[in-house]
Amino acid sequence: MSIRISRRKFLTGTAATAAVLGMPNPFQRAILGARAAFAAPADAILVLVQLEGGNDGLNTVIPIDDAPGVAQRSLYDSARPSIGIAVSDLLDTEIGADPVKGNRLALHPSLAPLHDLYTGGNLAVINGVAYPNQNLSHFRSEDIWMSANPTGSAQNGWLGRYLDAAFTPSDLKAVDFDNTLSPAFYSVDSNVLAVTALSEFVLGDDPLYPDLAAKKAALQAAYAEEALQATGMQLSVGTSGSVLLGALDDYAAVDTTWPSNLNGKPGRFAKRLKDISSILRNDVQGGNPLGARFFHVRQGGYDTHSNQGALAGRQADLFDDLGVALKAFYDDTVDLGISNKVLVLTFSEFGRRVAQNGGGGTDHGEASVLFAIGDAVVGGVYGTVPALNDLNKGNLKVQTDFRQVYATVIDRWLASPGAHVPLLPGAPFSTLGFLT
Amino acid sequence: MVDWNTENVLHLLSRAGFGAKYKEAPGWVRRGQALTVELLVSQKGMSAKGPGTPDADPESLAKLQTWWVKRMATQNARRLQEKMVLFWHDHFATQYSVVKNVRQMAYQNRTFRLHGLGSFKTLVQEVTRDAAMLDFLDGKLNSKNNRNENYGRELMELFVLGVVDLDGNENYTQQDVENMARCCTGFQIDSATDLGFMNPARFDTSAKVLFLNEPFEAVGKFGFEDGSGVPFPPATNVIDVLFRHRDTDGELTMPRFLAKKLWEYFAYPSPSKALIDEVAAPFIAGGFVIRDLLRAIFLHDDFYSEQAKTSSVKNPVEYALSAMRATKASSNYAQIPDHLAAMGMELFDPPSVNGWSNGAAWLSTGQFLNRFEFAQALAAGRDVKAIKMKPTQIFDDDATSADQVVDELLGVFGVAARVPAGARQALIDYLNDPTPPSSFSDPTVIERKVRGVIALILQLPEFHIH
Repeated sequence: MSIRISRRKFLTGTAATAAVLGMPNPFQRAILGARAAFAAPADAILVLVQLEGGNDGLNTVIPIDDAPGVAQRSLYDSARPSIGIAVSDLLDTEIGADPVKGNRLALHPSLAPLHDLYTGGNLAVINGVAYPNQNLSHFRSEDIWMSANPTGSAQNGWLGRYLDAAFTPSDLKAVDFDNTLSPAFYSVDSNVLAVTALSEFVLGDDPLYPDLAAKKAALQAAYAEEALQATGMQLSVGTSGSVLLGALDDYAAVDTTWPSNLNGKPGRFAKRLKDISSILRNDVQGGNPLGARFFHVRQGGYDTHSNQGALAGRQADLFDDLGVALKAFYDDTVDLGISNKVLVLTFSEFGRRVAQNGGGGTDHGEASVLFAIGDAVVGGVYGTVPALNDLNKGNLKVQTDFRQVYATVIDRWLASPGAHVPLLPGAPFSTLGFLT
Repeated sequence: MVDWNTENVLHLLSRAGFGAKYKEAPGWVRRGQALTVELLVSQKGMSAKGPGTPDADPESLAKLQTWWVKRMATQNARRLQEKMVLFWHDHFATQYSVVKNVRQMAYQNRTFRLHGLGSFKTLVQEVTRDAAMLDFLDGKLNSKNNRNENYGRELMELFVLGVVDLDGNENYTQQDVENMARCCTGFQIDSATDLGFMNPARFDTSAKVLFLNEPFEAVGKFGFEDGSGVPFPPATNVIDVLFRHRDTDGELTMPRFLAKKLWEYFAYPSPSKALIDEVAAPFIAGGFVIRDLLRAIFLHDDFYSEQAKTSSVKNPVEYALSAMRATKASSNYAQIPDHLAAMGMELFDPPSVNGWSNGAAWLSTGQFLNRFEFAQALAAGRDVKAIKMKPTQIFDDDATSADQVVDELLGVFGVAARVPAGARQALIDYLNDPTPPSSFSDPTVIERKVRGVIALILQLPEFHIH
């Protein structure tokens, strides 16, 4: 199969695409004016937002007009007769022009709350991101994004490797708001909490003969022994149980009844972001500090093979919840006085086919778009939207290696220049300008 | 041959079923290994179908979940058959939350019961024309004029071949996905019956090329069947093409893919290539009959190795039902599905087409705490409408010391040999707090402390592992 050969060839030259991406869109820079230089604080917080299923980047950041030499809008219209967003619907969510092609771009109208963040200079749009030699399998692609390793099967996640390098095993620095732990947090020996809600931090008891304190003491004693004496899977369960029992009361005590901007916002995604806000608030208010700084939260449903829709439909419904929730979470960080310490980064395992399919949807594609949000972000448009007259089997070609985004976050937000090298397979990567 | 003793019987019943009932092991020891395994794998297809309305009614779904949980909890001769229904539900994962039709989910569940131990080719055929699957992966939208790749991709990636072979080489190309999608055209759902059917007018009759330039390249007007057992179009069933696919070692890809997945589900992760080929051999020789593969696994000495007994985490169904069987708990099962969902396993609604993440992934913080919650609910169970468990049925209340009680109960749960001394002591200390009971036949001691120590044992690492 030819694909086996081309994979190897491709990988020898992955890091070479950064030249145009290191620079923010100059037009947008002029509007925003100069920003104060920002050094990533030692207590930098990262919230990783996963849009699961393969978000259609081309209906997330949409061409408004043609570019010289590339009829981006005309090609968009002909590829997407029923799911295309009309130009007249895009004028309220216009962002900066494509930094390379120069044509005008806009966010999906359902992402209007993110447009507010863009106008405030707190949203970076990073176009054309993917891993090299696309596979188009959800699960292989998710593995690659989580592990930051496009070849072979990595045991650990990119954030897990960071946690291993930066902290000791007894530190509890990360909370995943998901049913199961995201592979991005897989690590050698770092413990990460994974819950669907803070309300899960509770131990049951016998309602007829309450005996919780004694049972909890026995359980802690037993698990402490397991963590010392057991081996293999038993040790692993014993250790994580021991850590969990130690953290239980602290997390159970987090106040979630406060006037968060996320209160009443629709969807499970907003509820999970609210719990993250509550954890951050707990530490800001100087209560019993939890110290969690790394979070992952997932919004599922982006696998829009059918009924993707334009202004209304599956993607618009998801964006309605996403935009409102991300804006409200940002507003929470402002209210808590930590908007300069919190970075939100979105990602999705791949984008979707340029041409719509017979079901009013789109099949699996390649490059997609990322958002970075926060006061520390240098707002603007980064990277060019892939040319619609130069597709790879009907898909948008990768412009930016996803590891450049990770390298930027590690070097410019979590650590210092060059810190990404031991953490990302294939490093070094050139960093991008959305963080300084 | 392994020594056919209680420990090995308990291991087999834990993996090939949902745990052992209190004092169940001796009968299976007497039967011997070969007969025990044969009794499990030889069950014929079973057409039992749960209740289900043709809509998205949560109460109807709850009834279907309860019906199935009760079968898994109480079937004895057919315990492996129900275990395989659970395996195939995980393998051909289909989400009720997308399908929104309880009757379609009930039909799919019946398909797994009918064919789950039989011909894998029949099973793939039936899943391909299954209404819930046609809805879930957009097969009903896939026609000669409006191609949709969703099912064709997952058929190769998740159901039959895998993205890569055992050496990490890609099994197919994007071009194969597109051609496979064309082979899958034509199926629709009859909304009156909630069954799938082939509509020849929507089928792409043109020739397709699969696995271009490979030694097993195939060109033809491939499709599936029309439901009569006759290939449609005649003599060109694409499942045969899929099953002829060979990996970079030149071995058949599907049997290795399925053997590895089943070994990992039933025994331990990352088996060697040699072991995979060993258990796949009778499956290949017999024309891809699933019970041949299972028999080879359950008769293999490595299935009874220390690694196989200690390196997997029970899934929530295994955890909850093994606890209930071991304690002779009774229930109307109506509340069990909610417990399972809290532990991460909402029946009929896996997290994605990739099914549930098995192994240590089951013990995320929240799911772990919900296991603790279930253990406590079972131990404190005094109402058959939820769970009813009588401690006196599983321990000897003539016992005179906490040590005796703890050791007996650790034996009941099959974990006596693995619990570290310090953890055992923590249980004894709990029973003796605040003062050592003078009698374990005192109902107050049983209600207050013995139930408590049962909860604690179910919460220890050992009971989560098998």
